[in-house]
Amino acid sequence: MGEILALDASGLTKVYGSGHTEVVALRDASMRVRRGEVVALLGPSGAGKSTFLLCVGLINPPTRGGIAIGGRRVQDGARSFGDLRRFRRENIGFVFQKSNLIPFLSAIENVQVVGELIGRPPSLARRRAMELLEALGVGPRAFNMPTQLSGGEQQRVTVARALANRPSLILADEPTAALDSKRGRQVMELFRDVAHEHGTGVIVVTHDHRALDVFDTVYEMEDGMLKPAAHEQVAETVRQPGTA
Amino acid sequence: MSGWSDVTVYTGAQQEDLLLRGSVDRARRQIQLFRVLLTLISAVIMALIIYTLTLDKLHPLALLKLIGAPNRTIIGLILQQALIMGGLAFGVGYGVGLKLFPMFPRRVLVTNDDLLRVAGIVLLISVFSSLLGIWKAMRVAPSEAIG
Ligand SMILES: Nc1ncnc2c1ncn2[C@@H]1O[C@H](COP(=O)(O)OP(=O)(O)OP(=O)(O)O)[C@@H](O)[C@H]1O
Ligand SMILES: [Mg+2]
Repeated sequence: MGEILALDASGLTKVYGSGHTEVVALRDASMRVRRGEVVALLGPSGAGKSTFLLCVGLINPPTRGGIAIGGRRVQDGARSFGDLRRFRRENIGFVFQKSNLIPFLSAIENVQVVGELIGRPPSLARRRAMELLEALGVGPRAFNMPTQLSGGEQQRVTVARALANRPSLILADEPTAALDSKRGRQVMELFRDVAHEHGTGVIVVTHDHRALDVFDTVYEMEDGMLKPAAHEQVAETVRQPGTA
Repeated sequence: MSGWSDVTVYTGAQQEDLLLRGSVDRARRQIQLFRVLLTLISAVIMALIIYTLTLDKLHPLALLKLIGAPNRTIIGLILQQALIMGGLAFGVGYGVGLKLFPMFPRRVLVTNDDLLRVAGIVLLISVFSSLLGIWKAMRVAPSEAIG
């Protein structure tokens, strides 16, 4: 007892559809992420990785299983406690494969809006957005519209947005798929630094085995089942999660 | 005089009323009907415009929901759009009126009261025409932002 976990997901099962179109996307998946821990989630296509993130991100409820984030129990099966949207904007940051910026807002506004949603005064939200963009190396592009940014720049703005509410949990679904391996690695390292610095739990779905040494823990998902990665090469590169 | 059965006595005002009632009153009622129809039609057109504009933005709206924006914010965005449109329409209408009315065969009288009333009607139309768009926006699932 005592330690507050960034995420405590237990026994998550997700069934899509019913009858002969039924797909069991998650089977009794459990994961505990400490504050400051960076977790990689590997697995073949269709294994259920995105489904897992959608469940713990409080976007799609699981069919069974419980979710606690930052020590607060928020989901028990399909039943949720409290206003999930509010919980998301205050506690979770999202990054997805496609950059997913709001097209009619500039880069800085895309980040700023998150701060304003959690009740920061606009000037403060803007200042903080600028700091994040600068830290991510896209400060000079702050006033560009998303379409005027390269894929990598868009992705970094998305990362800035995910950090803007100082979440206790960051969920990233193949955030580096659109980046070259150098930039991809930079984004992963950024996640790690943020996690270690602010005590944020981070889960990153990735196919990039070269950057696995950045992570504290590596899980593998197969056919809806989640297990710690046993892969030789993975085991060597992954450090002990002592930093958390 | 009013005692005589085959004659009716009218005051000046009554005479005026009598003369105006027939043809002018019918014309006025037709214009009134016309106006109501125009108002309804513009409301429907505006609702359709706002609806398609909302359909256009379903993805970013889903995204806003995903990052936790409350419904209040989303409704606000749509209303804001409608009010801007309404305001523009009012402005354009007023401007065109100023240019056009002097060319009419009769003098057109627009009082401040009229303007205020029209502004009120525009406001109402804007709000009502947003309802369809708002209804659609409320139904979009946050997960649609990442399909
Ligand atoms: N909305 C849905 N309705 C029905 N089935 C779904 C839905 N979303 C996912 N599935 C199914 O659930 C299973 C897991 O999908 P999921 O997207 O979680 O896989 P994934 O591990 O993220 O794969 P990828 O690496 O290709 O992104 C798949 O068989 C998929 O077809
Ligand atoms: Mg996926």
